[in-house]
Amino acid sequence: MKEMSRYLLAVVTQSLRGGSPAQCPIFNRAIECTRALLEFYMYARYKSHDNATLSYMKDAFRRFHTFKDVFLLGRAGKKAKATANALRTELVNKRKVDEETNADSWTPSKKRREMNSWRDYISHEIDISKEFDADFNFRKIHLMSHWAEQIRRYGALQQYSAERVEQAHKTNLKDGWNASNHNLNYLPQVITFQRRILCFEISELNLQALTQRSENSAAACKVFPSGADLAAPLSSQSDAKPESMGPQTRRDGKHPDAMIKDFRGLLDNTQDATHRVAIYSGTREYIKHKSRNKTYILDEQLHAMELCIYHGIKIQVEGLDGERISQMC
Amino acid sequence: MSDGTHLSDFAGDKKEWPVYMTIGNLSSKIRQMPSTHSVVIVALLPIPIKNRNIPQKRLDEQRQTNREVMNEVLRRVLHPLTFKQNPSAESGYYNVLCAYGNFRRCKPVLAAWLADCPEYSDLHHLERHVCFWCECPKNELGDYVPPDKQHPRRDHNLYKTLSDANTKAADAELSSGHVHRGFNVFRHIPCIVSDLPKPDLLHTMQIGMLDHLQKWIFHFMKTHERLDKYNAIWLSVPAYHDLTPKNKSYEEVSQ
Repeated sequence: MKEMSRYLLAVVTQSLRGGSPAQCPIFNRAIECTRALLEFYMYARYKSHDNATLSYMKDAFRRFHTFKDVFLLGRAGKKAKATANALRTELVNKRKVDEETNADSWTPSKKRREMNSWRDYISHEIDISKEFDADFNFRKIHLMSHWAEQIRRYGALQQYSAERVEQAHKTNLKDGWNASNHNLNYLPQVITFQRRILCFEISELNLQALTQRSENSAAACKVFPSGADLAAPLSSQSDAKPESMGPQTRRDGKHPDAMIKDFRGLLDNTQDATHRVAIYSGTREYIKHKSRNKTYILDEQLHAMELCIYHGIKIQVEGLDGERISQMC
Repeated sequence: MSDGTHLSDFAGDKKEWPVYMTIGNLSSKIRQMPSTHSVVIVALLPIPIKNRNIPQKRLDEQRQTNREVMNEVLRRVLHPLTFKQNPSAESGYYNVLCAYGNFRRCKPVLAAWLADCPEYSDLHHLERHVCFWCECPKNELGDYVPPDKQHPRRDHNLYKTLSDANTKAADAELSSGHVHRGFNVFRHIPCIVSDLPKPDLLHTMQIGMLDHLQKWIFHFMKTHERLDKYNAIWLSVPAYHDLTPKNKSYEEVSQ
């Protein structure tokens, strides 16, 4: 429908070209009506409005209402069609009576002429009856009359479109339904699935914030000469708001009630300063490529280090004598 | 916002009717992005059973029950917004944990409710096929409304008192405004109920009016014997950028 609106007018105009002089005014009205409604739709989709665009929109709406009568036949519902059909049978009966009474006096050519005029008369009468019964009284046509006022009060309409709701169905319900076993108790599964997805997203955001904060604190403390290159682009930011990254508690994704330990605690426990740099870069690496939750880093002293990030951060350092030291955060 | 959706045709024709929530102080750009999880699901409303081959009287009773059930569910969902328990100056404020880790003082207010047209009617206790913003009579829906001659807005406080009065005169007045009787949760929440609905581009225009327009044009072409030409031109619209070429005429698609 959305893309259809872009060429519908062209198609209508083209197909209504070259009508007879009697048809021309009707065709023009039909084209005008289509144009007005499409214009109204295009204006309604604007991302920002001012008095001029709103007045254009109102004008398009007014024009649509002046020309809409041309489509009245298309609005004929079941009721109108039923009355029209009743009228048709009545008229056909009349025609039969007429035919029988005049059967002797009519010549064949006269009969043909009479029949033709009857046919035209009947179709004309039926159109009139349908048009009389048809109306435009349905809700959506009325709702449009409120739009200009609503835009004035609440802003552009695109943000209120139900498309966002349909999107939410996809992420919030349908993905969960597809992952469930489609059994009777699928609802708890959908909800836990949704919750789990949210947990992972939160934990990822936490990680992102943690690395950023650690870099900032690193820049502020100037502990790591080797970390200067990491911290340099962020130092100005950390100067600008020094306290916004103060001591805070964050909630872990997996256990929303438990607080994540501060990343700096881990740093204090790590004796080797070079490890800290490695941890930053490892976490940054993880956030960059979200699919990998394991990173191997070689630090400056050529220690192989394994950084696992899942619900927390796990670091395994291979010592010189081959033993593995793990640390959890 | 709420909207019924269809999960599956197999496995027993599953349907859900979720209620979502989002917050108003997000930029609309961010809210429109699905990856930001800006819209979260808060409840699944009970779906009424199908009404088929039921006499009219029982159907009305069933609908009344459906409305009561839905309002009770919504009452529980929206309970934190009612502030009825301690009406003091401080009431209605909550300390909400913000993403920064700090607490913020928030006063949640229901500002809008996005749904499609039949759902608005159900939520506002209105009959189907009437406007939910104003008291436009049914047989004037199709008329042009000049901007300065709008119909009076719906006053849900009045409906509330009329519905509570439970007299015959009040009932008559309600039914003249095409309003159903009964408890409606929105009338008990501090918000302007007739301002909750927002214009919906998708349902009103894209699959509403434009669909109607196409039907009318189809009829128009048929009566003026231009259908073949119309279909031929319709099919010959070339592909361009994001325009996909049509391979079916309108009647084939709609049937």
